[in-house]
Amino acid sequence: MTDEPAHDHPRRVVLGATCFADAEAALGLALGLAAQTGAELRGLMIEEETIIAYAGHRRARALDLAGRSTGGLSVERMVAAFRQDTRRLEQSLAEAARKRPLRWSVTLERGRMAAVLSGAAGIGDLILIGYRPARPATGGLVLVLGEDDGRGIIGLAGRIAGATEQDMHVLVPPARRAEIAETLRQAGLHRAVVESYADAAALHKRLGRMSPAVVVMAPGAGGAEAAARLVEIARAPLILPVPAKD
Amino acid sequence: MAPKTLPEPLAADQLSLRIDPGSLGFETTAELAPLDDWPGQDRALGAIRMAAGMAHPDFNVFVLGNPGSGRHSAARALLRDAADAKPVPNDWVYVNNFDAPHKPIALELPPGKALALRDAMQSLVDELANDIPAIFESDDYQTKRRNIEQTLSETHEEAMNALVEKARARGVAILRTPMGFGVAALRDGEVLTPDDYDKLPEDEQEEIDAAVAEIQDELEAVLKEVPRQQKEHRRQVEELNAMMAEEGVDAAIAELRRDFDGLEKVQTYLRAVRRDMIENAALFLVREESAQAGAFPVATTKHYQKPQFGRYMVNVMVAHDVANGERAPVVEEDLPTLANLIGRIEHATENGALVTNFTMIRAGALQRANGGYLILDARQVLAEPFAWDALKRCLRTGEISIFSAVERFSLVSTVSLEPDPIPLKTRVVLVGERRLYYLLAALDPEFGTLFKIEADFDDRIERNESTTGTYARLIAGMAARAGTRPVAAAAVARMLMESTRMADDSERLSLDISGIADLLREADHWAAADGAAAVAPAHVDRAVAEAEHRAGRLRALSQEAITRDTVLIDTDGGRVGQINALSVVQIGKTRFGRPARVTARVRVGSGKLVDIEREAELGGPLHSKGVMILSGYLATHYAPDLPMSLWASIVFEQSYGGVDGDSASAAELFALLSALSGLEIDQSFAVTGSVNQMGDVQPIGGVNEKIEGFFDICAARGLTGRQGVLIPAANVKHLALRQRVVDAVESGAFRILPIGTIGAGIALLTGAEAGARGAEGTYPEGSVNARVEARLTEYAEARRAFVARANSREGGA
Repeated sequence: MTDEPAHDHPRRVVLGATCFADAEAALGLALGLAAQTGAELRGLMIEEETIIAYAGHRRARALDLAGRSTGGLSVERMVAAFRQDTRRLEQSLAEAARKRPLRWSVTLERGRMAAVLSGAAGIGDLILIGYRPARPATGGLVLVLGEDDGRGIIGLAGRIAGATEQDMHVLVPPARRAEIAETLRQAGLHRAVVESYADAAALHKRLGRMSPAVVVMAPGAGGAEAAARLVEIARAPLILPVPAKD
Repeated sequence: MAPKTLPEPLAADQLSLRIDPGSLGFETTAELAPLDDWPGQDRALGAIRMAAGMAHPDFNVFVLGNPGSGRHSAARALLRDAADAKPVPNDWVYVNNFDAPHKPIALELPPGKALALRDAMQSLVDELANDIPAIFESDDYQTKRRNIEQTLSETHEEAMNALVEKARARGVAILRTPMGFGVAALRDGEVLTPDDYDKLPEDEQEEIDAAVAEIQDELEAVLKEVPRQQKEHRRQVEELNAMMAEEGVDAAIAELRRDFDGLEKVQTYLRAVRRDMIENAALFLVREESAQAGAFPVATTKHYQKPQFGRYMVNVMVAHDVANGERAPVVEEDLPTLANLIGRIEHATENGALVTNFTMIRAGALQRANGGYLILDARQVLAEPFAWDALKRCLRTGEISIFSAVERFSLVSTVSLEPDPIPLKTRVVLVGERRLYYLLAALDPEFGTLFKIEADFDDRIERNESTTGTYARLIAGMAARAGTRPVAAAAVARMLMESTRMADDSERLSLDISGIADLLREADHWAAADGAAAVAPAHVDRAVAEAEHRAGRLRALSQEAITRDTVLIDTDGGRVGQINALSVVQIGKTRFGRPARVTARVRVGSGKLVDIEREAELGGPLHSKGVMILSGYLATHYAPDLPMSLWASIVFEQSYGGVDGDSASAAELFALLSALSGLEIDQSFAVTGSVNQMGDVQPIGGVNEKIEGFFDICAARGLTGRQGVLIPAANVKHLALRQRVVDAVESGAFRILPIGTIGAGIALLTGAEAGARGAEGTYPEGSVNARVEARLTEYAEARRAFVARANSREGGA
């Protein structure tokens, strides 16, 4: 088992995103997690290298959420945009800290998302990758389990689903379906729906059609790299606990 | 024309009213049925009753008369009687105009229904505040809502999935950047850097560019579709909300519709409420974050008090309590400001601006009196800015439109309302002084059109046996209402005497009810001090004396100035060309008479009669007219064949204030005749009376105060038995003198002599016969008239000689 009761009391919640819009969309969830667990909230604006590289192309352009062109790009403009988004994240957390007790910090780091997140989060932390969907989230909370994730992660997902008043779906490898169903029943999560996925492709295909409000990914289902990929597929924020021990 | 005999002094019993208490037929007023009427006011009361019963509009009433004549109490009582016979008028409310909130709708309801509508709407809101949340929390609604959202999500997800797949297939990735979405080429799963891109062959670059462009265009299309999808989503959700809300609203409002069946405007309003509640069902879902719900369960919360439900409230303007037997209203507004009269629209501050809505309209007196009567004091209405103008506008248009003074001047540009005007069906009764009525009638062209009825309250009534009995009952009624002791018959007789004094006429009783009531209460006070069981004449005497004493400081000062010889007045001896005239001073409640010395000086002249008061601009027009009449008298009574060659000056000595009225013109003529005849005037006398060109002595006002004013001076110096006052004969009926004067006359120490002609007066004053022109055209030798005519002839001769001398000097030069 790679899950531990440490999920109940994470040391930090690390909210990572490559733009303020994505961070803001997950901010409520991050603040809720920090408040529930008493953890420090660390905002991490990731100056994604691929984005910087893309901005260097002479024909590079960007579209806003309504599909309107935001003008030609350049590395300088993109770097400035990252800094501006970092400041906006700082302002948001400062405003939140005025309304409730909160330990927080914000940093800007350049690199690849998965690597930055892996480097920033430590044992016992919760990674929350932000994402702003363009459509209503009707799919509730989706828990993705791997081969050997256990009650701890189920408990964490159940608490988040309860706190956000979401329905819960659990995606498991076929071999664990019955076991997980029983675990859910014992945990009192009678309304959770269990589905199995044969492989990663099937998982991606299913997730792509679920419109979840949030995805909780068990460490056994993959690391930061896989999490970053699932975020793009699910088009929803994703929570990834960093295991206490391998 | 000189009288054949000199007038005799008046007897004591001619100087004031004497009533035998025994003739009144009762011992005290406790035996009498109190009079709750206004005697002598049939004309005015009939006018008020007619106006009160008149069905036609614009027959409003102006009740005019002197203060204290009972105008207000009579108007109040008669209108109350009339109102009791009228049906209760309808209720009025203002409700929200959902299509144009700045134009609140006025609803007319049967009496008693306004409060019912208000309470019913409050209950409706409370009911829906519980029902609608339940509807939207139901499984049925949640499922339908989720289906709509799911459909939208699926549509978008399918499009995005397809795009992502295609992008992967074309070797491009969709990036999320701080500046928006970007589409980047991939090589081996990584974003192609610019350097790597530049190293590629041209055809490969073109392929990559084409792929990026294609995916970018499709991404743009997908993203542009999102707002339209969201709009469609909102439309479907709103449709669902309306459908769910409609069921709840219809069920709740059905009872209201039944309760107000038959009232078409109310039904129209309820249809608008239904429509608005369905469209704004979300209002019922708002949850406040209250710190605590209190000790009571949530179900009893008055949801209708929450700000979001203000739009459904009913602003009751006028509600009649039919259940408790309320009748048509009689409203008396004693502070008739513009707002108190026509109502007002209140404002509140919100974010530094003034805002208002239909719930902030307040009723004024016109609304409250609608269907009944409104009593206003005319002076108060005229004194309040814009009130008179607004009242006339409402009466003229037949509607009550509410506006504020600041709006009128456009001083404040702020959110305001244009509420439906309420039809006006009120009879307005203005109460005021006569002077105000005549001013309005003369200067305001609308006044006569809007106030067609005048109710003119008389200030006196003829005194006879019948009215005396009525007056006694009036006093009995006053005593009962004021809670005083019963009034003994002798005291009633004394009050009747005082009433004639107030009326300035022994044949009339004053209708200054307020003044009589004050006298009664003051007399009762002195009766209480005496420990008496009933009010006696001595108490009335005391009340009168105390009142005169309280107001007598100026009179005492005036008298003191004379008795100390600061103001020179002779009360014995004789002087040529000098006489004691009498005047009345009225300041506030104080009214007293005092003598004034009038002197006349004569010489040759060209017929000019100099009125020094007029020359010094101290004489009013009436006084000047009186003096001019003297010229006419002289010109027609003496040396009519000769040119008037007199120069004469007449003055009120030591008078430094204004003088008006002609009540001293007889005295002025006596002084002039004395100066012309050279005969002394007996300074024991004072004279009052006006004179015409024929020499008749005409009546004047204030005869009682004037007599008493001279009497008090003589009494202070010691009565000689010769002193007295000459008054116009026509004023004898006006006498109501104080007891001290009556007593002096009775003892022969003072005289009051009525005169009807100048001849009678000059004979009394000079002791010489006035003289009548004989058949030969001359006055008897030695008579006053003969002497006057001789003097004027002498002046004419002197003047002719002077002119002849002047002409001859000119001819010689």
